[in-house]
Amino acid sequence: MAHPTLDELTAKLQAARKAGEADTRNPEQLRLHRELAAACPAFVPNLLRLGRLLQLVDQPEVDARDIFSEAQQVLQQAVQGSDRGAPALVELGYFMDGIRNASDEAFQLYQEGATKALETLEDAWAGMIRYWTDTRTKESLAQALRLGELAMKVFPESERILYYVTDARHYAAQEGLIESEEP
Amino acid sequence: MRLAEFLLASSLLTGGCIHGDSVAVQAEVESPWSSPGEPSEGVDSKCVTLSARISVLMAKGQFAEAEALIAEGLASGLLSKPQATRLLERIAQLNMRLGQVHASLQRAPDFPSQLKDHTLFQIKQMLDKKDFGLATEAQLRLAKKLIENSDRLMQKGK
Repeated sequence: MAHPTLDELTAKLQAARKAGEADTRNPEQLRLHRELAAACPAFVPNLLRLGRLLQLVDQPEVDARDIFSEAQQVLQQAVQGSDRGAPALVELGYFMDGIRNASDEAFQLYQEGATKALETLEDAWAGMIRYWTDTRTKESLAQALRLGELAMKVFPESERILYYVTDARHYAAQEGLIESEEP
Repeated sequence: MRLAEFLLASSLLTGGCIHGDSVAVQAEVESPWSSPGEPSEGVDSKCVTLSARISVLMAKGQFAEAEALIAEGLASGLLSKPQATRLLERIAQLNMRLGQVHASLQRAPDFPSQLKDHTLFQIKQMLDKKDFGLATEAQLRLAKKLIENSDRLMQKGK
């Protein structure tokens, strides 16, 4: 059988999500998400949702140990499928913390997730500062300065942030928003 | 420390405070390089102070006072609607009993069922006062996490 296309996977994910809209504890969602996970074990958005739902949807007829094993396996799959992406790491962290009561292991996962997320944040902020700097209106430069200030506090060692903030300050000084620092 | 600063700071960026208007932008531009720990007076710092005050009242269990301040903040524009909603949801969560978390979560392996009739606030109080008469410290911590996490799971599921 051919692997489903990305459009098919997305449509199925939406159908499963819809099943939960009317009733957040609707067990039909579980069936749809499981089916999708079987069709594509690397489709991370589905795995994350399934991992959460397994903790929320009551299945009194199933042994709790089996449910939680399935949830853990699905979340570990999401970590692998996303190449240890931040959302999957953090989701697994919360599961280990609450359900498995394994705080130390959870902490390691939070920490790794935070590091990954911060890398993305640094890139995104650098892009935003550049956008506002390049727009070069008084308002946009003020925005660039404000985000720049925050970004320098969060990423004091980031050369990339410093580079774009320096540009922002250069144009802000030209516009008379701040005093020129250039000799 | 860096992360804590970031969390506080990012709430300034994404929170519901009034940032978009020219007055706020102007206030920021006047001292863009204010040193850390000395926030410039203005809409931002007032907004953070108000949220922080509400949060302290909630932590003390003074929910009526917290609700009154939320209503005031909303009326004066210092709190946005989503911010106010989030704070009210937190109050509801502090008043949630362990036995009210999802039935599926109550089947977690070490679920401390003797705490079922206790609210998150009461559980936090026991931890605070090191009152381990009803449950061990580990059980209290787990109960606290289960209530806190159920809210997160619901939010994420939307």
